[in-house]
Amino acid sequence: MARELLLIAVVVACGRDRPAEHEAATQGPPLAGKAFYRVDAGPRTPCASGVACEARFVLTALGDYHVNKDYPFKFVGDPAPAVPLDGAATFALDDARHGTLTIKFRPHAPGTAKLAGTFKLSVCSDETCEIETPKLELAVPVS
Amino acid sequence: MRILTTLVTIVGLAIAGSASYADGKPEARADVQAPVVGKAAPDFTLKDLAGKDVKLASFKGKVVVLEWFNPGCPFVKRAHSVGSLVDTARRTTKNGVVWLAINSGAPGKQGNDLAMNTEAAKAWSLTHPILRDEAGAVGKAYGATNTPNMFVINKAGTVVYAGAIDNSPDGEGKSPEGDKLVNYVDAALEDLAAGRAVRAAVTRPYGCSVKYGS
Repeated sequence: MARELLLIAVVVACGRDRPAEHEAATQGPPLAGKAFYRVDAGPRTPCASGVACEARFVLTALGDYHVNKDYPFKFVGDPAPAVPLDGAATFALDDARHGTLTIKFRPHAPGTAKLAGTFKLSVCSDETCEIETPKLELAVPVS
Repeated sequence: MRILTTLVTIVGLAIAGSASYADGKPEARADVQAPVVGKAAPDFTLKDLAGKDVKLASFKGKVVVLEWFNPGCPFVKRAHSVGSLVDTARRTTKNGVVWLAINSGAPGKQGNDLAMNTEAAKAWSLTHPILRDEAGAVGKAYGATNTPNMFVINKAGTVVYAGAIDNSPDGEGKSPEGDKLVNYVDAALEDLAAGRAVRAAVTRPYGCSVKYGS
């Protein structure tokens, strides 16, 4: 019985992982946003020069809005001097109100890699849908 | 065994939970009818923006395109300003096709306003009628769920296509599935002109939900 309870606790903890990430991501001021959505930097992962790194952006639909699951979310990187992206960004729906945009890039030198581009996103309420194209910038430390 | 049973139950609940997340909130109402492809097009009489009656049956013997329309919907705006609806109606009507836009938005809902529709027609150089279906009866008869939502009716009066305007659900034609933009209405009209069955007869519409009343 104790082992079963432990198992339940582990599974419940894993299930709460994403909401905890979302909560942490939305503590400070957003990178971009309006009354019906916000975009925050996601959890930071280690990044070293010459290897593939990842940056995450968390989209949160606010108020009565939810993420438009049918929309082809896209990140269009700015031209130089930004860090070149490694393939197309991917977007994953975490729940009805959250989604995570993952961008892969390969920095050439240690220091700070500046990611910059336009996030094409859509959120909807029962009354309307919105398409937004906020500019995003994120400085990523590179070892 | 009890542990296994518990684990299976928990995993099952987790999967059920994630499925409801993945579904998100429905963009379309559940009480609208299923698409009517292969059936006789429901007849209607609606008023255009000038208050003049337009009756579908009066176009008997012609190919008719119906476009569910909402000038306040960002997807409609993009489709008409940069996407697959730019000039499509004017180009096809030159070949004898009848193009009717239908606004099923209820009074007070996004895009219902008469002046807004008139301004949109002017801004996007629309020369075809925009019909007002404020009660939503025509929209529901066709199963229209989104704006834009397209229907093609052949010369015999049968619905031969229902779905999206194209395969790029950003409304701009810049994110086509499979990297090749396909205008489904153009394709359906080409099939009809060639005397063959419409190859993609049903596709999934994207965009805003139709703003039906309660």
